[in-house]
Amino acid sequence: MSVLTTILWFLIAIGTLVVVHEFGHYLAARLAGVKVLRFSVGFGKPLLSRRFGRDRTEWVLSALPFGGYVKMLDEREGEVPAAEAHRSFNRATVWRRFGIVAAGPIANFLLAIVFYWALFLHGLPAMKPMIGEPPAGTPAAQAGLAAGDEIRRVNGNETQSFQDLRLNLLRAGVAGDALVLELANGHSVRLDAAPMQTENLEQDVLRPLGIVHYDPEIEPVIDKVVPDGAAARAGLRAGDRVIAANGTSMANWQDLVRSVRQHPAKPLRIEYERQGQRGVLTVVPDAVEEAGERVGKIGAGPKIDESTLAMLMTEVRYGPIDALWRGAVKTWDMSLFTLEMMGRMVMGQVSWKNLSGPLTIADYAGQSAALGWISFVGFLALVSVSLGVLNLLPIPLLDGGHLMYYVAEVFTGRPVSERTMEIGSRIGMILLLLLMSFALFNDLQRLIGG
Amino acid sequence: MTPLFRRVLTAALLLAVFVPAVLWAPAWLWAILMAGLIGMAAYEWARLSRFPPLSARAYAVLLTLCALALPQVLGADWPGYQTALILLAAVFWLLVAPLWLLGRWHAAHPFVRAVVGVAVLLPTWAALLYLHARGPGVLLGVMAIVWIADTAAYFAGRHFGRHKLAPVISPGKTWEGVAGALVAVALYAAVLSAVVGMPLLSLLIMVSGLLYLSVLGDLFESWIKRLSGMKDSGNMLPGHGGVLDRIDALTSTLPIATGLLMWLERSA
Repeated sequence: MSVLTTILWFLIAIGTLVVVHEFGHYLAARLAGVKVLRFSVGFGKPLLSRRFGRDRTEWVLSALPFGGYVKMLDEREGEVPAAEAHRSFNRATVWRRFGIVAAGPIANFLLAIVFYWALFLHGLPAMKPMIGEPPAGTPAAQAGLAAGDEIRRVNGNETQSFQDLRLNLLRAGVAGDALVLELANGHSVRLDAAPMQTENLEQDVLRPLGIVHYDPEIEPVIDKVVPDGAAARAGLRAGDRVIAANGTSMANWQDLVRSVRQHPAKPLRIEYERQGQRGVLTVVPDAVEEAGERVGKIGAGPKIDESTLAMLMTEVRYGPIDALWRGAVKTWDMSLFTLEMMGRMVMGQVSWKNLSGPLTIADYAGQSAALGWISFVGFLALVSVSLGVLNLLPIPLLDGGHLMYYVAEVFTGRPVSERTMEIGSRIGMILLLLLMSFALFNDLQRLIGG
Repeated sequence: MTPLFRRVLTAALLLAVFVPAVLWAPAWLWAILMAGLIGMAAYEWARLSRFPPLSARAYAVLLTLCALALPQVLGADWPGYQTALILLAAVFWLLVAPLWLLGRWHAAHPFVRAVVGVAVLLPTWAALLYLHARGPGVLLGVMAIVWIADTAAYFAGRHFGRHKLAPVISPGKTWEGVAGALVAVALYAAVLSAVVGMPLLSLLIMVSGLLYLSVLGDLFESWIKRLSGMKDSGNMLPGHGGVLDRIDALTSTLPIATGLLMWLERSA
């Protein structure tokens, strides 16, 4: 994926989410009778500007594409003609102001629900929650789980796909709950797991539990060869059946992967069969860094036949009402999960390394778009939820900060003083700056490697 | 001596010291020379931030010693910290500095200024060592971007300058100057593309990004000077003002260029 397409998808993603967020504010303001002067996507210098609508609202596309704003009539920001004073934001009741400010994040949640609803209606291909042979000594092995077991529920929560399984195990693990798994065959087992390592959630957190993907035996026949990869350079081709590596016979693809991984930048003598003819050649696997380990890769993929794939895959699909409900539940779950993770970062239980910023989002935007529109829509829904949650945090300058002031106003009966707000926005500025600095630091570190 | 003559003479003398140092100085000598440079810049930074003379000196000495000691003390860990310093600079120049200028912040508290001085100067030092270790050509090649941009902006601004870039911060800079610099660095990118064999488009993007940073670094120092009411950061270089005036654009470009290089080397 080139840098330019990544930027393009990032702009599409951010643009959609910002427009929806600001449109939430806009609609609520209209409903509350507050006059909207300007609707801007982006900050800074206006690039394009058109006036239309009942109030001659100015619709603007601005230079800096990292957000947007809705500017409302407000007596604290400038002269307001007496005839229009009743339509200014500061004159609206506290409930109306609360509604206008809350409408932005709410619009983001609604968008996520709509997107998830569409995805559940359409049907999502997913890996079955079927596990592979648990490594000896792991909690899963001790509990008697075996290859091919399908896990249907974790602590009572339904797991339709491997992703569901992962999410539920992660949530229960981070919370330190005991794990009760219900299997498709009606049995139910209990895992005695140590508290989960939360230093880096991007690494495989399920491995210590002994929960691994079901890995059907695949024939050691090469189907795809990456151009310029080690396999291609050595002369291996699609259709070649690998018979042995360094004299050890290869019964299946997994055997081959194992020996290749153990030989980063070290020669591997491959015996193979091509159209009935036997041959021998030497491959030097490329050395690759993977989760802190140096492993070998040759840039070749196996042939996986349709029936194997069909056995592994399932489609998650629901009817309109059910899908809507599930979309809402999923949005709610993701919001809580996001909030929980943020809370744990503040408490120091989860590393700040998990915080990602615009570059990682851009990277994921590009990657998910390359995988097709289903994954892109799923990605948009996820980021929309994060945006909604982030904006609700009680930090001055964010929507949540304003809501915090309005709550205070409801209790004290008068607006929070200008001075308090000024101090608040300074603190908020510093907090946001620190947060963004952290996120950007992590992003860049992922790029250039630390 | 006319001011212009003095300016040119100083520049010639500087080049006469600098170029041989880049080309022939062994790593340890280069490190000492650059630590001295960073120390002088730190002193000027402290004065611009209105530190009293004695604390300004102490700050400069401390920063110089810090710079010299880091690679020795950290030993095998130094490359990792070098990367961390580069990341610090990236966060500062991509996020904090633009907001600082847009918000016209003063941030005059000595503690803030002391920290910002570290964020501006130590990564520059790390970048100077990193790029020099990659070869004199690499270092000069990156610095040339800033010099070419500066020169082109000066002439283009003088001949065509009409629209002020940021009158509140630095009255001398114009959009026409920036455009001239852009044309010049684009030509430079074309030459570079032929020499090092990198695709022209990616070089153009990188060089334009570095041009933006060099303008940003320039404006940032101008803003700090404006806040303190000084015209030059110092008077160590006759006709040029202080050291910080000479290296302002380098403090933003060198660390990010180093980061870009690290990224390229990693993805290669």
